Amino acid sequence: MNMLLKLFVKTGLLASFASTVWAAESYPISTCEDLANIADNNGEYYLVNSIDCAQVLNFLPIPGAFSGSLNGNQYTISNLTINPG
Amino acid sequence: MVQNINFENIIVLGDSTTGSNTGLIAGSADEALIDNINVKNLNVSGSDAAKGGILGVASNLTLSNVHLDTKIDITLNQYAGGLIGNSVYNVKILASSVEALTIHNANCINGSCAAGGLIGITTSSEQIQLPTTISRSYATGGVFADKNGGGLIGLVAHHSYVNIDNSYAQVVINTKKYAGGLIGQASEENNKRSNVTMTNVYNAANVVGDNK
Repeated sequence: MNMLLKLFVKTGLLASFASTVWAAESYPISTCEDLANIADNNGEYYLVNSIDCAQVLNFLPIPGAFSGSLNGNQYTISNLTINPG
Repeated sequence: MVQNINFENIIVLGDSTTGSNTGLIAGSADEALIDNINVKNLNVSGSDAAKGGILGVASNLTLSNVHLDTKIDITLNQYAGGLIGNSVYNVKILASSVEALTIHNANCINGSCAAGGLIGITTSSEQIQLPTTISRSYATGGVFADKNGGGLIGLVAHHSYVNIDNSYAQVVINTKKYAGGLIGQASEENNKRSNVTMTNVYNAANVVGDNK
């Protein structure tokens, strides 16, 4: 990432969260890798079990403006470190 | 919409070389809904820009039934809030809480900074006068800041509108300049006032400031 882009870094599970559009595609999340690899910014994502992120190093914010949805279904995401570097 | 998630043992780091708007769910959010989120043992850190437990910067947002029910620890140089660092406009915080909060905000006596139990700063423009609303919510813990430390909101900037009802802070405030049990400072600049209404709101903890 170059220095110009770094000036606009936003950090969190999602870099940026925008208005939700009703999604065409839905995707189950069953591992921390699934969470880290969210790529459809209009997608409907849902947890199907609790996930432990202790083994996932260098978890980066999901880039771009996320306009999809994420439903945890009351499951737990644990031991997560979000580090933009 | 982000909803129905429990989080445990979470660390969110700001960018190591420059300021970044930072929060567990997102760095920034506009036209978003966040509902039914429970967080245990969250630590958000970094320097500069807006830091919140849930969001760095927010506008056109409804955040409801969000509970940070153990410790949150924010270190920063600019704006820090238990839930939201910078609430720009049209933000609703409903039935939510931050417990056992610790905010440390150092090295900012000559800068622009604020720290609050729920929100660091509310900002707005003269054109968009849609308020930040806090309803049926509370914060407990401590705010340790150079200036603008408040139990619910650190700084209500000029132009911005805030409505608070049926809410409380049990937040120890230790701030060198502009300490408030509920709001650290409601500012006025160039005859543009901030606008705050409160109904059934209180703070039950100590407030210490030098008032320099």
